Amino acid sequence: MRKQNTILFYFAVFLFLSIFLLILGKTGILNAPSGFISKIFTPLRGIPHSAVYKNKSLDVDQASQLEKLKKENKALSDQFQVSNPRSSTLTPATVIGSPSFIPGVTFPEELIIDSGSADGIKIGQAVVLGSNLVGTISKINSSNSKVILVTNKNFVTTGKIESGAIGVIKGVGDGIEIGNLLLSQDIKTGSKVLTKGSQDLDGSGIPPDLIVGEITSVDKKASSLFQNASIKSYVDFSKISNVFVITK
Amino acid sequence: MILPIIFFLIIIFQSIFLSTPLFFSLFLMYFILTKNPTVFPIVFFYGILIDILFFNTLGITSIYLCLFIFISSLYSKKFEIQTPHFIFAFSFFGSLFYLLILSSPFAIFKSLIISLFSIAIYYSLVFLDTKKIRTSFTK
Repeated sequence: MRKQNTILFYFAVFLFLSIFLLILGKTGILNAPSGFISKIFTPLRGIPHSAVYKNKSLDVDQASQLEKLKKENKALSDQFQVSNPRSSTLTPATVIGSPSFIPGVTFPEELIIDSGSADGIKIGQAVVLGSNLVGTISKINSSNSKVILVTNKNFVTTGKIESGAIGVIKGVGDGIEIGNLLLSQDIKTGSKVLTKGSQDLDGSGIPPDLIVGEITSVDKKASSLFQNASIKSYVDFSKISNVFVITK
Repeated sequence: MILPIIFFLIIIFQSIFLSTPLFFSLFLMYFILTKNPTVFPIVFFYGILIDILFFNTLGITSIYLCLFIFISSLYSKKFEIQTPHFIFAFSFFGSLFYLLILSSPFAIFKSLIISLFSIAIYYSLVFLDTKKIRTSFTK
């Protein structure tokens, strides 16, 4: 009986503390401490992630460090050579985690990057690699952010095809589709799909003319109201190590 | 001392590679073996850490784990909980509701994985002589 009372006491105390933290968290007061704790774990998460998904060993001798720096440098120089999006509005970030992705079993749908609100990142901003759309920022703290990829089932945006057709781009888990295309539109495989743009007044959102991918197949039935098409992105989401966030 | 390190490593591993809440199995097994009220501060602090690393609403995992462990304790008053049936059922439904609250995809599949993981831990401990391990936990 005494033990049960002790359990009840501990339960009540920590439940109350948890509810109190929940309420405090909603006010935003705990963003800074959360970001600080997240920052402590960032290097710890980055090492195994890059070791597993980049086929690198954990041997941190000079040769591996040099290889890593070369890849980061190449990613940066490739990014800043493109004209869309403008390089002055980009914040570089390193991928430190991709929970829910197991190679050969599941497809990547989310990424965690090592930049947060302290770097000027806001929820809804687009994440790119070159001129390719990777995803959008869904959650942030002061030092890290969560990115939902274009393949995520919760990802939706408007897009346009080279032929001029406008449709709705959505993730389907293992790929991307564009739907709500008029039957009268002539959609060809190999056509590029671009974003139509959905930015807010403060600049957050997806800018127009970012590459989503190319059409690989068309699903057109005379009995349907619209036609759909499957899209293959030029980005291999399972091998991303560096991305860029469009911050303005 | 080893146990907090194991919890910590599992959570870090999970935050990098998985969205399956393996910590469910660990916390449940810890409570089942020890029936120690100190599980509540443990799940509280680790719940906060999980919410920070996974960008969940801060406090939600702690609340859920406290409730989950408390319901297990209520169940233990009437029934024997150190059985594979209880462990499997509680792991499955506990993790399923948690994943549904967080709108995690493949919730049923992940819950099944967690249940099997819990059963695997249970039988491993039985093999290693549960009594000895329970004694070492309560030291």
